[in-house]
Amino acid sequence: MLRAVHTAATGMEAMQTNVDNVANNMANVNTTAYKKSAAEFQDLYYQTVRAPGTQVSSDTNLPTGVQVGVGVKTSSIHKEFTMGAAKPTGNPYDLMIQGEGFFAVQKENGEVVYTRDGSFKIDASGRLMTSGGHLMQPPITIPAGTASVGVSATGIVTAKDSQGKESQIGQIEIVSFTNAAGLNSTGSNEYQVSESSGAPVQGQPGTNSLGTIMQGNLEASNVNLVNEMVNLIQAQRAYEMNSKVMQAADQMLQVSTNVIK
Amino acid sequence: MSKGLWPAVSGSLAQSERLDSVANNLANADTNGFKRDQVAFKAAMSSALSASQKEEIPYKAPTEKDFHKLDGAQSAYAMVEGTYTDFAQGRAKLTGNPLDVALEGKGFLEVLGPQGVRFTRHGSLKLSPDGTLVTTEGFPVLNPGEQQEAGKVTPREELLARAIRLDVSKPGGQLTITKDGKIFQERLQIGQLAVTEFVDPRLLQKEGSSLYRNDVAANVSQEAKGTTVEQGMVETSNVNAVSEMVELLKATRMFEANEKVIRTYGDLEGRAVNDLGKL
Repeated sequence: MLRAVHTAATGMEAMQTNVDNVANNMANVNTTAYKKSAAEFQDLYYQTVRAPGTQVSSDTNLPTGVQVGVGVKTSSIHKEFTMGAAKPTGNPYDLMIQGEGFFAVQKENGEVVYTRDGSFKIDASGRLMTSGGHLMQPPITIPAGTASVGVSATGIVTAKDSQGKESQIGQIEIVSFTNAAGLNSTGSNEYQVSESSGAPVQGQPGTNSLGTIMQGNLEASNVNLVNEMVNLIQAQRAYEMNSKVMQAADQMLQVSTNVIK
Repeated sequence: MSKGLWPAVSGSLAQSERLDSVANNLANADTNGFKRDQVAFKAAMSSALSASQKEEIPYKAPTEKDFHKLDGAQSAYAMVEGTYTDFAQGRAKLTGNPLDVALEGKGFLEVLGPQGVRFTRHGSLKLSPDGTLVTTEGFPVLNPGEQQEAGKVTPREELLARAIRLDVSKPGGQLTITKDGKIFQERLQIGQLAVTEFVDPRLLQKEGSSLYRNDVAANVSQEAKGTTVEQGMVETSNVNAVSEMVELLKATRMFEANEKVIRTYGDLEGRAVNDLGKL
């Protein structure tokens, strides 16, 4: 009977993880380029009390065995890289990747991390960087005296000065991964290469199945509130039911204890 | 001690085993591809307390009562005979993830676990860095293989060669999985999901981590397969909350009833020991 108590405990723990995950998704419903996480569960191991096919007499075998499962475990929490909706902002430095790919940005310590959050800003010397101050890789510098900046779908950056003279000042490159779901989320909308993501493959937007750039747009979060609410209800009810099992096991133990008065 | 005590004890134990099964089903209420277990009970080791008695033809005129046959008394023990997995289809949940597959029908995906070929219905597949299609646990998903001969062990390298691999030199290509399990990367077929059906799925053993093991080679069905693969969906657990709560209620109440019997026997023994001694 104590087995049931522990089994129910694993169930409650899994559902708690599920609610934690839903909470994080809901909290990021308005985060630019946020990708929702999905929690996945698998059954834990089974105790085989009697194996099916065990010989019971010289010519008969057991048709079915007795296998008791001992609960559930969280097998993965992974990001789902489906596209979010485009949110037009009109800001020339807001770039959205339409399709697959990530911007590579460099942190202060030299480490390159990856993001789909394309709300870039420029610093005093004209360098393109994220809101967190991480420089775009390869670097793009907007020359002084630029009146307007244009970014083509394939990532070519052109600057127009006050005389209306246009010049190409750089090429934005984006990267893709074999297994984007294997990237490490580090927060601040950024991802780190991990062993399971594979190495980044850099390329020009629009080539090699990489996405294209949309200037003046930001990618909205891909969290679907209705789905999350359904997940929340499911997780909460499952949690409740598991606690009921625990209560029942406790009650049964109590009854057993009361046999001796 | 009274013999009737032990059947009640066996009943309590059997009910607590039922509770264990309910607990596992409910813990996996949100596990994709999970199939619920049910327990079946049987009467075991029934022993005759007294033998059936021979009927003597009465000397006097017979009445109806005289022909009442005595069957003897029996006491039996309850025990869990077996756990059955209910392989009913779970609901499909739309995820939109191209690597999620739900199986509709009786089939299982063939994967390579650490100890050989295993079967699963947990269809949220992933990609490993070298492009191999794997399960959440990292077990490679296999292409269909030759019919396995009974008793023959296929070497692991040979099984590994059946793993489905994507061309990583072309990252991010559109992945399409057709209803018959063929996988296309940018219109080029790179493999096919091995979908296996069984003559009797109840012979499969659960191993945890959503894996099933098949020990009987003849159990693999050779007939035409009726299982279709649906891309962008996962099959949810087939645990039904209402029926599990009913099972839970039954287990608790029957446990209580058995305990009441045990307590009654305890009371009787107490009376025999204490009250009879007062006379």
